[in-house]
Amino acid sequence: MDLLLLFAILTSAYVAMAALGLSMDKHFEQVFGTEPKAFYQRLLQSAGWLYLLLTLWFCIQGWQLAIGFVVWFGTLTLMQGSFALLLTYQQRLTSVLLWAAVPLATLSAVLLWTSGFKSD
Amino acid sequence: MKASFRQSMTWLHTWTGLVVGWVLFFVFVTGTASYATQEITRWMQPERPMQSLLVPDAATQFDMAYQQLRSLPQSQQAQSWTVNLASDARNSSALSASWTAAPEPGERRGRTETLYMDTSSGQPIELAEPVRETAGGRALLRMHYALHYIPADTAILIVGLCTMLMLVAIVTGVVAHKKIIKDFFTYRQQKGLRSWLDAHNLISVSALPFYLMITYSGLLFFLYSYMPLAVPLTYGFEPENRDAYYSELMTQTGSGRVLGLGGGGGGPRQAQTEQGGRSGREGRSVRPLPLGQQAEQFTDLSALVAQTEELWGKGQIRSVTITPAARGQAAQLQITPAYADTIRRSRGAGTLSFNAQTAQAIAASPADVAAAEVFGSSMLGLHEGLFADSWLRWLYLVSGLLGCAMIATGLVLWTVKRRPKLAKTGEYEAGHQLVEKLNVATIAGLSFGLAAYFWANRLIPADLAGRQQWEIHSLFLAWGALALYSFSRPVFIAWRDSLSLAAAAFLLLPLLNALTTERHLGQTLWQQDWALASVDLVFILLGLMLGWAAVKVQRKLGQTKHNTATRNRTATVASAEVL
Repeated sequence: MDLLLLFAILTSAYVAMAALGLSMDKHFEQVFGTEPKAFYQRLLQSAGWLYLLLTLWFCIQGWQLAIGFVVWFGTLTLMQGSFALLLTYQQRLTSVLLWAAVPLATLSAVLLWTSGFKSD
Repeated sequence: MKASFRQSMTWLHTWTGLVVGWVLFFVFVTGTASYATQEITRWMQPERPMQSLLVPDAATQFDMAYQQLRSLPQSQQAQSWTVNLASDARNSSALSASWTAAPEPGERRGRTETLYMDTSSGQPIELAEPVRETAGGRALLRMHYALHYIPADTAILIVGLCTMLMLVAIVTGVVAHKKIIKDFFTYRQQKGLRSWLDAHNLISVSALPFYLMITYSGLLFFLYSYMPLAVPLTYGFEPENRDAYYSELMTQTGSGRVLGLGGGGGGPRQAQTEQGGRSGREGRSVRPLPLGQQAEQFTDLSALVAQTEELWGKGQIRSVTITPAARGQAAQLQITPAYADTIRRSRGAGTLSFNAQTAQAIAASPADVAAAEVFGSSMLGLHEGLFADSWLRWLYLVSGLLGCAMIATGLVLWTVKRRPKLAKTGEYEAGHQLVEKLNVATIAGLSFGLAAYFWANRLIPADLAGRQQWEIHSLFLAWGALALYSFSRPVFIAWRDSLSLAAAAFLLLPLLNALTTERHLGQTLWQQDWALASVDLVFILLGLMLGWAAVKVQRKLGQTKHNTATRNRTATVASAEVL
């Protein structure tokens, strides 16, 4: 298994979970101290769903359809738990990591796309 | 009756969960460990060689082992030869040649002997000591559905009943959870009951698809035991009626096995014999030539191996098996891939077969199976996760551990919720006491027992006869001893002491390993034997988690003592002893 692929699904699954989590009023307030503007909420929501699908696409490319779905569920379990723990114990870090993970996940998507997922 | 639908579902969730929680905790702990069956067995056999760093191509490796199989006198009469190639794949750390003898009368399988090979010299590795017998990961695997010390049939029914109630508890739990979306990421710390509820909810939602899959598919493994009348009422009660059903089923589903008959995927022997024709009863009169002699007629087998590696890619072959010509079937060479590409539980999926004399490919049996068979074997496959590569295997382990945590937090939650009311009146009813104590005895006790299982593996002399049984006895003896202790102490003190003991037992395991073997972290990390090293690392992780829980209890104990002291000053009741 390819390290780049692993990195890609980890970062994009984090983006998915963190964006969906922060799009909720109470968690947004927890982290940023204010109510989210409708625009930001929409943006976070769309990003969350988009990266959720991106993660699934990575998984299917790397593991085929059937096993890909299993990897997808497992990875999301891991990231949902990690995000919830960060939210409780390291609130600031949730948004910092989100900002870092968005470009990293996107970049690895591009790299994997151009290399055609060869090294798996 | 209960007021609303949700309230009655909550009631059902609470009580089904409580009744079967302790058995399920055992099932989940041993079941989770079973995702690492092969890794655990390898850890428990420290005499086996470490990961080969030098991995030559498949044909070269095959040749090294094949030469041994052809020349060793003890392998000539064998019923099959197997070469396991060294690669990065699971359980493929070393090149080995093994041969399996014909089964003794009354035995199901013949004895297998294994010779480990050095991939650089092509010579057999002289083991410093013979590989010890161990109950290994397989014993834990078996325990998670067949328990121990009671007849397997009874155990399977007990586990099945608990599993059915667990399925009820999961579904009612989803109904009972009021804010399943809103609280999807919510954990509020240090809020007493609220925190326990949050933790239980969060853990339960987090791997919900896994819990549903594992519980449902767990029931499929023994579906004929759980619905014993389904077949007899249609086909009749005699054994031959049952066999008629099995062969009809196999014809209709296009499968060579019957699902739902048990853990090892064992089929009904009678019916499978009819199907596969591998009985051995007929044809005894004409004894086929021994494999060693037949091999003189074989074609260039390593060319076939090389050709397959070219097709699949480097490191993609797991093993090569050679079976002699017998009963009208030609001698065969079977090449098994290192990685699965299906979730289905189908033995021999992707295996290529060749006629060992003519090198002709033997067409695989038609993949034309009924939808029901695809569904059934996929569910069983998902349950076992044998297709999982290393990343997915870790995810399975995490999901399994979350399952253990779900059950543990649920059990504790039951007591936390009822504690304040009872503390107010100053009376603890016997039922509540029993649940509190059973929780300590099960959650902390089993963790300690599991650590003891691994301690026993290192401390029981490697050549003691029947040592496998003693490893298992050690698990239950340690567990029983700690359970007795928990019952004799106030609950919070019992929690603290048992958790500390379990934590220490796990944390010291890598040290014990270093003192008694050459396969400790210093060696395994240095040699990049990640599979073996990860077992020690997981021990440390488990120890840290148990230790963290012990510290939490200790803090709570300090607080309670403080509270009681102040309350005593104002002349109220409730002593720390009762808590």
